[in-house]
Formats: sequence, C-alpha cells, structure tokens
Amino acid sequence: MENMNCIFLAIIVFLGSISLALSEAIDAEIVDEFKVEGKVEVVSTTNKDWIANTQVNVEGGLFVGHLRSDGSFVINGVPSGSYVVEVINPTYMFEPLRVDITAKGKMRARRVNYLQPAVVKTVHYPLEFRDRRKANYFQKREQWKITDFLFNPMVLTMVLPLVLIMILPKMMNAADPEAQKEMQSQMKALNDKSSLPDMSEMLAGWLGGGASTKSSGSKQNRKR
Amino acid sequence: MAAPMKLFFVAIFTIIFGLTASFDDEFEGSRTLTLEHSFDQGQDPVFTKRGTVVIRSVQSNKATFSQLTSLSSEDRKLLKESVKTDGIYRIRIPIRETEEGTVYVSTFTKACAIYESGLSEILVISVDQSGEVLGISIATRYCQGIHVPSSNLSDWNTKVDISVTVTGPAPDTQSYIEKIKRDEQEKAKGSQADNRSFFSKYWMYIVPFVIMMFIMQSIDPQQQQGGGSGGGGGR
Amino acid sequence: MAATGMNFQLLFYFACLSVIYALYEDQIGKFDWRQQYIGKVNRLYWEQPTSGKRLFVSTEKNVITSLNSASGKIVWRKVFEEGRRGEVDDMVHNGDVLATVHAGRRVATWHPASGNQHWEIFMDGDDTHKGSVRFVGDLVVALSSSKVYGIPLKVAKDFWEVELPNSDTVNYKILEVYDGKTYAVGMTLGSEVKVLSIGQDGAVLSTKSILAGFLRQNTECRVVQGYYLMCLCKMTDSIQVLNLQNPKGFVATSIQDLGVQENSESIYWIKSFNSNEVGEIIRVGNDMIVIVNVGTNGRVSLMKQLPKSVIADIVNYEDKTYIVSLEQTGHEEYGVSLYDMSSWEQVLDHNHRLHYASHHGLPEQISCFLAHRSGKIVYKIVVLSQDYSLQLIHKTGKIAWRRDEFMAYPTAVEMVDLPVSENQAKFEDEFGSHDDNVMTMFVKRVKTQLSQLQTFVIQQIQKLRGVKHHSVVIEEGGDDDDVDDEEDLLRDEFSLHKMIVMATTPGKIVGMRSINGHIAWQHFVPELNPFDRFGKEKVILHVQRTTAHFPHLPQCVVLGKNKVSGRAHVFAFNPINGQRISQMPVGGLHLPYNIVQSFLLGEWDKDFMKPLILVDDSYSVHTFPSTAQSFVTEQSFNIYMYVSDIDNGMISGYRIIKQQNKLVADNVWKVNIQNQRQNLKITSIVAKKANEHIHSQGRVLGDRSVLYKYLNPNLIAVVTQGEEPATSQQKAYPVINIYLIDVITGHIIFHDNHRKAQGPVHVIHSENWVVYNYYNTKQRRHEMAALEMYEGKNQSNSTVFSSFTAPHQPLVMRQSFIFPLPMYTMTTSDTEKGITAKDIIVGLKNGGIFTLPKAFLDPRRPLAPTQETQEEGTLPYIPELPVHTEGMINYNQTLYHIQGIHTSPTGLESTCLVLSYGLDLFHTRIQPSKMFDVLKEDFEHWLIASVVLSMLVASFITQKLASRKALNRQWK
Repeated sequence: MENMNCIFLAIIVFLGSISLALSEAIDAEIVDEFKVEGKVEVVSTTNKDWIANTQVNVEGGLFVGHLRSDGSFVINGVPSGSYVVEVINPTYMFEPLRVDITAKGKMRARRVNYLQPAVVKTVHYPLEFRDRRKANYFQKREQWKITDFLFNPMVLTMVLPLVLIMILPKMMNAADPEAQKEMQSQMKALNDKSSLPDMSEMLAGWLGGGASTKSSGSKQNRKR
Repeated sequence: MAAPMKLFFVAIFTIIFGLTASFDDEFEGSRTLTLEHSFDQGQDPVFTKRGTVVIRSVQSNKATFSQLTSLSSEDRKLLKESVKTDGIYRIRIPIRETEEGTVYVSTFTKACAIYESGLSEILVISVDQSGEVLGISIATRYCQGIHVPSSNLSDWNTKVDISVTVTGPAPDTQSYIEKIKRDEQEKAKGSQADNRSFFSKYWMYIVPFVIMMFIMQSIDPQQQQGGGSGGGGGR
Repeated sequence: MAATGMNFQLLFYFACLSVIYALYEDQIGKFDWRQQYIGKVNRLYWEQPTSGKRLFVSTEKNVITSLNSASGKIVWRKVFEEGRRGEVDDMVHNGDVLATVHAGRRVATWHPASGNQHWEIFMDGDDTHKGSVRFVGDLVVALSSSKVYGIPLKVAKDFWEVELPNSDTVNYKILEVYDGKTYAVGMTLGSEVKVLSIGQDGAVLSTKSILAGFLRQNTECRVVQGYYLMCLCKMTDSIQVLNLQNPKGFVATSIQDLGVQENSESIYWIKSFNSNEVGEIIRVGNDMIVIVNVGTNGRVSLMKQLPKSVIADIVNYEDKTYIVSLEQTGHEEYGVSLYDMSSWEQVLDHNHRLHYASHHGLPEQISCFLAHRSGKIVYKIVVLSQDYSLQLIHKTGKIAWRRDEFMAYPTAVEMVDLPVSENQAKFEDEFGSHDDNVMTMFVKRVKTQLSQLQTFVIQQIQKLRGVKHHSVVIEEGGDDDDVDDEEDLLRDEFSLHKMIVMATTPGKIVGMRSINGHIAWQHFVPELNPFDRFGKEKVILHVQRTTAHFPHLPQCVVLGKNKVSGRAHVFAFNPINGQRISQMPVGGLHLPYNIVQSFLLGEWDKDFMKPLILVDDSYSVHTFPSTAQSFVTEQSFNIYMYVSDIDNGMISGYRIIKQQNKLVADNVWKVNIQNQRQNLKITSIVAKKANEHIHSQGRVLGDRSVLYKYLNPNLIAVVTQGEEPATSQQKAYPVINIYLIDVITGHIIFHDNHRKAQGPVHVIHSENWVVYNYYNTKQRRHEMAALEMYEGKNQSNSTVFSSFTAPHQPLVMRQSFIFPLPMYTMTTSDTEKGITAKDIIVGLKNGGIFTLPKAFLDPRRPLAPTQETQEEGTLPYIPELPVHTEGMINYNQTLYHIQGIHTSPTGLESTCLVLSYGLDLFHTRIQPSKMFDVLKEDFEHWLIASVVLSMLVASFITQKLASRKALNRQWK
C-alpha cells in the first residue's frame, strides 16, 4: 500500500515537472502581462449615477480601471504578482479583494487579510464587487430630547422614588375611600412632624434666595 | 513604585539585544580603523594619525583604542590656542578608497571640551549590520572654562562604543493572534460553564426573594387584623 | 478565526470612536472647500456636431474630462494612473465617441455624455512609444510601436491588426486618416521615411520608403492639410514636404523663398487643437505669425502675414474657412479678429477687445468655435496661456470663465497670518519700543485710542449712510464675481483666516484666501523653475518676516532655478498683497551661481528679517537679501548646516567661517550611509518643523514618574532605499534604512533597517517621535512604524538643548503597525502651543484624507493592558490600525493625486488648518482634541437660557406659593 502511494506521488511529481517545462517554453513567447476583470454592482439603488464616479484601483492606483455602463471593468497590462483591488466610490463601500496572478497567468481572487497574509479564502474570479453599506462620514449630533433626559439613570433614580412617594399614595386613595381617610390622617401626622420637607418650600428655599430661607427658618423656630 | 519601570527598561534592552543577537551570522570579524585628528581651524585642515581603533566584536560592543604617541607639545599648544579662540577639534576615519580619493567619516567637537576633559572622551562608531562604518562621534563633557594642567594633557583616555544598526520593528501579529485565540478559548470555557440551568445560576438571588415573599405574606394577614396600626408598612 | 478577530477589532474601534474627531453632517462646506483641477490642456474638442455646449479635453496630468463651455465647470472627469502608464498620448472625438490611447498600448473609447467606458483594447508594442488614434468610417484606428489596429466603434470585436515592417528600427510616429485611407508614417533618423497606407478592411494598400537624409532628432514633422507630411529642417533652413497619397519624394522649400527674413531657428509651429485642410500657422521670430499652405506641386507658399497677431487659429464653419487671431492692442488688452479666408475680410462688425492680464504670460494655443446667432457670426474662443490657465472668450471679448490650471502644479505651500489692522498695530507698537519714557508712552496710548475711536465713528457713519467701504483692490480679470473678496485682508479674532501662498511649476505664485480659496493676488515668474528634490518638483518658499512686525512689511521669498541657466533664481514679495519688494525685478532675480543648499536662519536681524542663506557649489556662502551678510557674519559661530549627496549616500556637515572677508562653508563632519553591496540611495530627508512648539517635556507614566522626551531640534530623519543582491540561497530583496542624525555633530542617534521592505517611505518627524510608512514585500502590506525617543527618567538639561552635551544614546522605543490602505503622503497636525494631541493626517490613495490620533501610533501600546498602562492611558496593542470613514475629513469629496498636505496652527490652540494639494485642492480645519477652548458651535444657547429663565420664574412662583401657604397656616 505504501509502495503504491510512493509511485503515485512520483508520477504526480513527474507530471508536474512536465507542465512546468511546457509553461516555461510558452512563457518565452508570450508577454507576461495579463488583465484583471470584474464587475461592480450596487444593489441598494437603481440609479446608475454611481458609475460615473466609481473607479477601480489596483494596488492603490498603480493600475486604474474605469467602469462601463453595465458596471464591468477590465484592467489591461498587469504583470504577474499579487494585488489588492479596491472599488473607490464616495457613497458606497466595497470590500477589497486580493488577486494573485501567477507567472503563467493563472488568476485567483481571495479575501484580503493583512493580519495573516498566508490565509487563503478564495472567492469567485472574475471579481464581483457588491456594495456592503453606505459610507458614513459624519458623527451624529447630540440632540436634546426629552426621552434622553428622562431615561438618564441619574434622573431615573431621582424621579422614580419621587413618583412612588407622591403619586402612589394618591392613587391608592382614589381607589378606596376608607384607606383615603387613613392616609389623610397619616399625612397629617407626617406634616405635623414636618419630617418630610415640603417640596415647594424646598425649591423656593434653594432658588428664591435669602428671603424664603429666612421665612422657613422662622417657621421652624416658631414650631419649636 | 519604580520597580515596574525598571522592569520595563530591562524589557526594552532585552528586546534590543535579542534583536542584535539574531544577526550574529551577519558580521563578527574584527576590524582595525585608523583614527586621524586635526587642530586646524581653516577650510582645508591637515590631519595627523592619532592611533588605531580595533573593533573586536560588533555585536557585543567590544572595541579598543590604542594611541600612536602621546600628545606632542606642539599639538598641546595648538589645542590651547584653539580653546582660546573657541575653535574646534576634528577627527576622522578613512573607510574606503575610491578613484576620487579616500572616503572618510568625520566629526568634531569644541576644542574646549577635549581640553577640559583632560583628553578623555567616548568615541561612538556607528556600524551597519555588514560591518560598514557609517559615522563617528565624540562624547565629552561640556565647557565650563576651567584650567587643566599640562600634565593631564598627554595621554588619551578613550573609550570606544559601537552602535550597530538594529532591525526595524515589525507588527507583532503572532502574539496578537495568540492572544485572541486565548481570549476565545477563555470565552468558550466561560460559555460552557454558563450552560447551567437558570436556577443553578441565580439561586442566590431567587431564594432570598422567595423567602422574603413568604415572610411578607405571613405578615400581611396580621396587618389586616391589626387595622391601621402598622402604617409604616405602606412605605 | 479571522472573522471573530475582526469583530473584536470592530468592538474596539467603536470604543475608541469617542476619542476620534469627526465631522457633523451640518458642517459640510462650513469651513472646508475643494477645488478640482484638470492640469494643462493638451487636446481640446468642441462638442460635435454643432452645439459646442461642452468641451472634451485631455491634459498633461493624465486626465480626460468634459467641461461645460458656458461655465467652465467639470461635467465628468476621468483620472488615470500617475506616471507614464496613465498618460493620454492621443485623443479624438467624433460626436458619438471619444477615443483615447494611453501609454502607447491601451486604446479605449468613452461615452462623451457620461464618461463611461465603452471598451478598452490592449495593443502589442512598447509603452515608451507615443501612441496615436484616429477615426476612419466606423472604425477606430490606433497606432502602437509595432502594429496598427482597426477596431469597430461600438464593440471591441472582430478587429484587424497590421504588423508594421521593421518596427524595431523604424519609429512609427504618425498616424493620419485621409479619404478613407489610413497612413502610418515611420521614420529612421538620417535615412528614410516609411509610408504605409491601409484600407478600411485592414489590407495594406502600399508600403513605400522615401529617402529623407535630413531627419534628425530635433526635426519636427506633422501632417498638414490632411495628407502632406511637412518637416521643419533646421539644418538646411528649409521645409520638406511629402505627399502621403502619392509618396514619391520630399519637396524642399527654403525659408527664404517664403519671403521671411528669419532662419529656421526662430520658426515655430503653433500647436493647434484641430486639424484643417487649408493651411498651417507658423510663428516667425517673436512677433509675427504667418499662414502657409502646400500647393499641389508640394511647394510651400505664404498665404498671409498677420504682423500684429499674438496667436491665431484656422476654423472651418459652414463650408467656409476663417482665421481667428488675437492681436495686441494695448497694455493687457487684445483685440479679436476673424478673417474670412477666401476674401481676407474682417467678419466681425466692430472692435472686440478683451482684457488679458499680463500675469498669464503669452497665449500659447487657441481654439475657436463659431455659430450663427440672429444672422451674425458669434464665437467662443478658448485660450491656453503660458501659465497653464484656460479661459473662454465670447460675445464682444468678455471672459466667460477661467480655469487656473497652474493650481494643479504646486511646488511649495506656506500659510501666512494676515496682518492686524493699522490701528491695532499702532497700539501694539508701544510695546515694541523700550526707550520711551512713561509720559510719551501715555501720550501715545491716548493718541492711538483716540484714532481708534475716530475710525470707529467714521465706520459707523458710513454704515448708516449705506456706503460700502471699498479697499483698494487691484482689478484683475475684469468680471470676477468674487464680491466677498473685497473685504479687507485683516486678521480675524482667532487668526483662522490666513493667506495661502503657493508656488507652482509654470512659475506662477499665488496668494489665496484660506477662508474660501479665492485668489487674492498672483504673479507670473516664468523663469523660475523648480528643483528636483527626490524626484519631486520643489521650489523653496520661506517666510522671511511675518506680519507681526509692523511697520515692517511681511516678506516671503521663493527660490528656484533659472529656466535657461539652471542657476539660482529668487523672487521676494509681500505675501499679503503680492507686491514684490523694492529692487526686485518683475521676472525675479537671477543669481550667478548654482545652489547646493539653502536655509532660513533661525534668528532675525534688527529689522526682524530672517536672512536666507544660500550656499553655492564652490561652498561660498551668500545671503538674501545681500545686505544681511554682516548680520550672518556676526551669527556665524552658531550656524551649522548639512549637504547630502543622494547617489553616493554621503551627508556632510558644515559650519560657516570667515575667510578673506568672505563667508565660506567649512566641512566639519561626514557620515557615510552607503552600503556598496546594497547600492543605497537617499530617498528622503525630513527635519522637524522649524517653528514647532512642544508643550510637555515628558510623559507621565502609570506609576506617576516622568519619562523625559529627547527633544533635539537638530535631528533629521534620513531614509535610504536599496536592494540586497541575490545570493545562492535567496532571491534579491529590497531594503530600507532609517537614520536619525544630529546635524550639528554628525552623530547618528539611531539607525534601523527593514529587510524585504520597499518605498515609497513617508516620514513624519515631530517632537520626540518619527513615524514612517513602507511596504512590506514579504507580507504584502503597508506598515507604519513609530519610533519615540526618550532621555530616560532624568533630564540632562531642561532649559536649552545643545547637541554637544546631549545624551548620546537616547532610549528609542519602537513598534510597528499594519496600515490597511495605500497612501500618497502623510503629515501631522500642528497647533499654536502644542498642547493639543497630535493627529496623523494621511492622504490616502482612495482619495480620502484620514486623521488618526497619534495615540494609535504609540510604541508603548501594551499587548496585554494592565492597571498601570490603563492609568497611563495607552491603548491596548492591535497590529492593524483602524481606518474608518468617520475619520475622513474630506468626507465624500474625493481628491486625486495628492502631492502633499500642509498644516498650519491658528490662534486657537484646539484648531489646525489643513491644506491638501495635488490635482485637487482641499482646505479644512481640524480639532484633534475636539474644540476645548471655545464653546462648541452646537452649544444650546437657547436651552440654557430657557432653563435659567424658567428656573427663575419657578422660584418666584414657588416663593409666592410658599408665603401664601405659610399665611394660611398662620390662620389655622
């Protein structure tokens, strides 16, 4: 079995060398310049205006291709090597592809991976470019919205307890007249103790300046 | 507090040496260079031989200087004169012969710096990886205007430093990919551990909650019986 | 694996986005502008058949474009590769199709209305050969160095090709079509001309060789009247003519026989955009234009002399032939004449005069389009001038539009602050003089304040009267619609409005307002040619005196080489109003020596002028202005400079000494950065910006200690490129080397090399860091390396830096990153005091200008972030640098062939002005650390005001309520 394998391998090597020799013979005659072909498509619009300001850059503009009205392109006179092909359009974004051209003119297209250049993920050749997304060049302006303000965690922590304290009891009151009475008595008790500061007074105290604080101060004095 | 910093420096140095070490195969032969000097101030200075620099090993920074003779009294006079006029002191090393003549690398320093240091200096010779001399420079002290006795001005006290071209940095993709792999494995591990059921994950929150509920319920009937006495419970 | 890696990166980028400066959508066009150019026109066609609404143009900048002939605006523009590959060798237009040939090999046809490509064919041949293309029937025929192709117009199928005989020795230069036949003309210097005629089916009808012993390298030949090959033979002072239809032999006509009293040296063909079948226009001497034609016997005869004409063209219109001619009628004034060729009568009914500014130089080429309107002949004339500008004249000599195409050829750019108003300057003047006593200073102060009040009152009165304040504006062009340009050239509050001074290849020097890109002034110095610096055209432009020294006027100087002699040529001017300084000739000053080095001295003399120091090839030192010689002599003890020998890889340092009453450069150090095996060439030398401010001396680390920066102002970064030759083990590979050299002592601070890496290497050198970009041929990707130099934990000398005492081996940290896109150039942002974080500004080859915070290019980015690195604020190391569209400061305004990016600080620390130049110009402002020193423009003034107001109201109301409640309680 192992022997078989060995022979098989040898044959393959032999065949390989023949084809190599053949290709070398051809190489001497033909000019080693090839063409890169492909097609660009924008699926997100039916308007064809994008074709006019789209161009195909090979290796950053070393070779440039312009589009035909059906979106296809041909770039002639490209020697063998490995090139990154990009589609340049100000509105739509395309994923770049890498094209490898062997000395014999065999073409292969694959995804660009700068991190691991040796990793090969082939894609279809002739190249096919399809718009990935629209380019976003701008930052969103922060706009003042009431919802933003309300859902701010700081505001929430402040407002929610307030709501619980102020509104919940009232709602309960409305539901049941007995409980209402009960509550009222409770509130009265609270008010008398003045353990819960009056909201309006407090606001006035902060914003209204000295006069109101004085008045509230005097009130407290009196109570004592 | 300084310890991590020190560590960092050490790391940097090891990187540098690590890189240079990897080029051991490049050039390790010894090389002898002629050092010439001049006290002339004009446009076409005349150089005389001062001594030789022997580079023993480029990579391990081993080089020595041996002087031809000690500084002659004429030279000493010239040196003192150029100190007075704020002149310069030049040195050079021939590196190759071409059809147009010898190619030198050269440098200079303030004459007073050589004078005040009492002829002690550090020569830095820059060499590329194949051993070709790129340049030379002198490090001495700076001038303060002090007087140096002539007895200190006879023998050169020279230290030679070799500075070799280092390999430029390359993106460290290898360790980054490894790091990502590691992170991923950790994540995978984490997600496996998280495959437990909802209860087994959050029992510590659920159990107290349930207990609380039970307690509340057991209290509630009492409250109703007791009438309005337990008002605080509402809050 | 890679995909998840991507995800990880994406996450990281979004986390970093908040750091990165990006535009808001409503800021479009607010402080940026773009100007699109096409370059110097070399072929021009009016839209066929009759409308003439559009122009189809090909240019020297590898562009084909369509212009709207009413406005001069670009309808579409196709930009080809830079260099030989993209060159448009020939272009023809026939109504339905535009056909071009590029770099001698590629024939393409284009749809004239949209600019879309129909097809492209790749021809056999040599790409150094200049190709040619014509139409015959419904075929496009194209000439390469070895074949003629005939390709159907619509589809590139079933085309024929004809092999040209002996194409390895015969240079086939000319392709012409006449009467359905294609003629290919090949030339062999000193011996013969070969003429092939080819039918429409691709059959070779005849091949003839005709003796032509007169052919020399400088013999100019062209086809005239459709089928005559006419050669201007300078050796025998004759014109040689060959009939291509029936090539039997050249017929010579001596120039004397034409009745012209000149020899052939002063005879030039006037280039024409179109061919015609009537005659040929020839310029004789400097001031005469003649029209000649070839008779049936092959003899050349004179048809008409146009003695006053500056330029002329022949136009066919409605079966008649006209000659249009521009004639000098006064200073900066030309008259338009139109002659009917059959009768030699003026067709135009009255005088058509046009204002032609002298700063355009002479008109080089014109093209005319005729039409009938209400029974009269009307014209449109396109004029291409010596300064590359293109203008269209119509009606009675009005200039409809002008394209300033010299702007596509910048060779040097500088931004200059505008001056403060005169009153303000007087006010500041009192701080300048120290010998005044308190009393005079007080009187001065009161006086200036009074005069300020006076002008203020006058201005207010004028405003009330509705009189617009007109400053003295040099009227140029006549009908410029730049009304806003009449506002004064005065500094604004934050000095955001500057004057952009730009020198260009044709010798045009312009001043532009940075606020809108309008030209404020222009000068034409045709003798000023750029130097060749590392393969780029560069002139040297320095600001010798800024606007800060009232009453001294600001001064700029441009240094280039003389067009004829190659020696130094300088031109000095006031950068604000463009007026040349006194004693400066109109065409600049031609200096009698070659320049090896020039630089601006860092110190200014008593008149606040920084002298320009010029070193000639005998190492004598000259100054500009020459009166500064004595000042330079005084300063010479601390003037050092360097000269680089690019091919031999030597850099030499010089000091300046006095010898026999002359300043000479004395060689003090030499550095050899050559490695003969690798054949290194210096490809760039980058010094720091001379006026760079550095705010922070060190960097605070995570443990609160300080790492001091190595700030050596005398440091240059030198790049060499070469190739390691092949050995038995491996193939040859390219190498690049970077050297950081102190140019005072020649000390090499640091040197590193990259194997299997090639250029172009773009270098930024600023503060204590160097960032460079190169191409890694092994991994096939662009990489960016960052070097940062530190003195260490102790600072050697905190007050002033001296190259003689500085630490000899600073700590150099380095790290490299992948930059995923190819670039044209890069630079760094520059602010007033250097407090703002730096941005790297990259001109990408995809037409974007991308800003990347320098923090991404920090060699201290740790692979695994720790508490300490987080404290320090370094980002975790990711090999690939993030490139995203939010960082494109030119958003969707694509820029082609970016040559350079200039940055300039403004009065606002947060803001930096950016000008990108190349084929297009683009100007904007950037704020690398966002706008921290003024309120943001989206600051909600109304919100704040309304909140404060409502709070106030609420407090009053609640106070009232509270008091009422208190009262109520009292009553209880």
